[in-house]
Formats: sequence, C-alpha cells, structure tokens
Amino acid sequence: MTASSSDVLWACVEEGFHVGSRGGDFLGYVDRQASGEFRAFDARSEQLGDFATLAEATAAVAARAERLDLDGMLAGDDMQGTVS
Amino acid sequence: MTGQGTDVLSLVYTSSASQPFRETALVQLLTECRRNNAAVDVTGMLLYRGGRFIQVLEGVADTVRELAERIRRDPRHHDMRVLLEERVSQRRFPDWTMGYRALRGGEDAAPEGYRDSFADLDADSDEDTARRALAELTLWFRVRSAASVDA
Repeated sequence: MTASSSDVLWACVEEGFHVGSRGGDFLGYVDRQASGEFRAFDARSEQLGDFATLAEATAAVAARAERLDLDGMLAGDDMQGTVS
Repeated sequence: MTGQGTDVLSLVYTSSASQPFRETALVQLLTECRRNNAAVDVTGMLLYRGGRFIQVLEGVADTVRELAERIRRDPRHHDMRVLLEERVSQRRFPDWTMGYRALRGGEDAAPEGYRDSFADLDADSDEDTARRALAELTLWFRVRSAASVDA
C-alpha cells in the first residue's frame, strides 16, 4: 500500500509547523518560513522545496512518501529476484 | 552518560501552572530543574502553552519515578497526570538536562482538518495518539533547537 494524500494524517505542532504521518509512520513535515513560503521536508528531513501554499507543500510531502513507498516495494522485488 | 541501554525510562506528564508564569519564574524553574537533573543524570524537555506544561523525563527508571513524585508535590503546578511511561532503547534528548520551548499560538492555531499535537497529548488520548503526538512535538523541538544553534 502506498501513501496517497487522502490517508495522511496532518498535525499542527505550533502555528506554521505541520507534521504528516500515516498509520503511525512519519512521512515528513512542512515549516513556514519568515518569507511566508512553506518549506517541505521528507521523512529523512531532506528539503523538497518551497511552496506558496500549505496545501501544495503537504501534497509534495505525500507525493514523496508515495515515491519512497514504491521504491521500497521495487527494491523488495529485486531482492526476491536475486535470491531465487 | 549512563542509562543508554534498555534501562532508560521515558515518562511524560502534563500539569497546569498554579499561576501565570513570568519569564523570571520560568528561568528560575529551569535553572533548578537543570541542576537537579544533571546531578541524577536525567534528561528531557519541557513545553509550555497557555498555562499547561508537558514534560518528558528520561533516565534510570527508579530515578525518574522518584523525580516525578517530587515534581508532583511542587506547588508551582497542579493536576499532574502521567501520560506515557515507556522503556526506550536510547534517550530522545541526550543533550538536554531540560530543553525548553514555549509553543507559539494557542489552541486555535491548527488549520481545519489538522490535529493539534499539544492538545492530543495533553488530552490523555489513547496510547497510539499520545505516541504520535509526542513524536511530532519531539521533531518540532529538535528542528527548532537546531535552528537556534545555527542562527
């Protein structure tokens, strides 16, 4: 199962700082900058970019999580392939 | 630092300030807290929002429980409730004898559709919710603390 925007739980820790998770797994966070832009980070705290709106930034976190999920699934397939 | 193995207990509690905390009273509280914690090898963080405290204490189990009982008797706060008590493989706040942060904004800071981490932990929620909220607050504390050091 991969992360879609709809099944991500978003929490606000303080004004401007938002954390995304799914089923207890940390997906990333969004931190509003002094400029007013929303800076998105993935689960490894790597920057995903600055966005004009909170919705765009949270969507970027969810998309990144989905891609990491897919990468993980594909890596699992590769490992199975090398074992057989 | 001792207590790095499985004997580390992390205890999280919430309480209410007995009266509004002025900056000087808070500085005094933190100074006492850090001195006492350093003496018994306890680390953790203290958060404050709108008259409510959330504190994480971590260290050797007996020491942490004794400290929590002493804190319970401190007249500067009341209505202390333990929210989480768990064994952890390593300390979450190894570098803080008592890190402190006040949260900006109040209970209505969360946009519509967003959970409020402080309220979720403070509300004596189920264990999964409390753990999630604690993880969110811990992440925020670390990000903000790192930014303070870099600044």
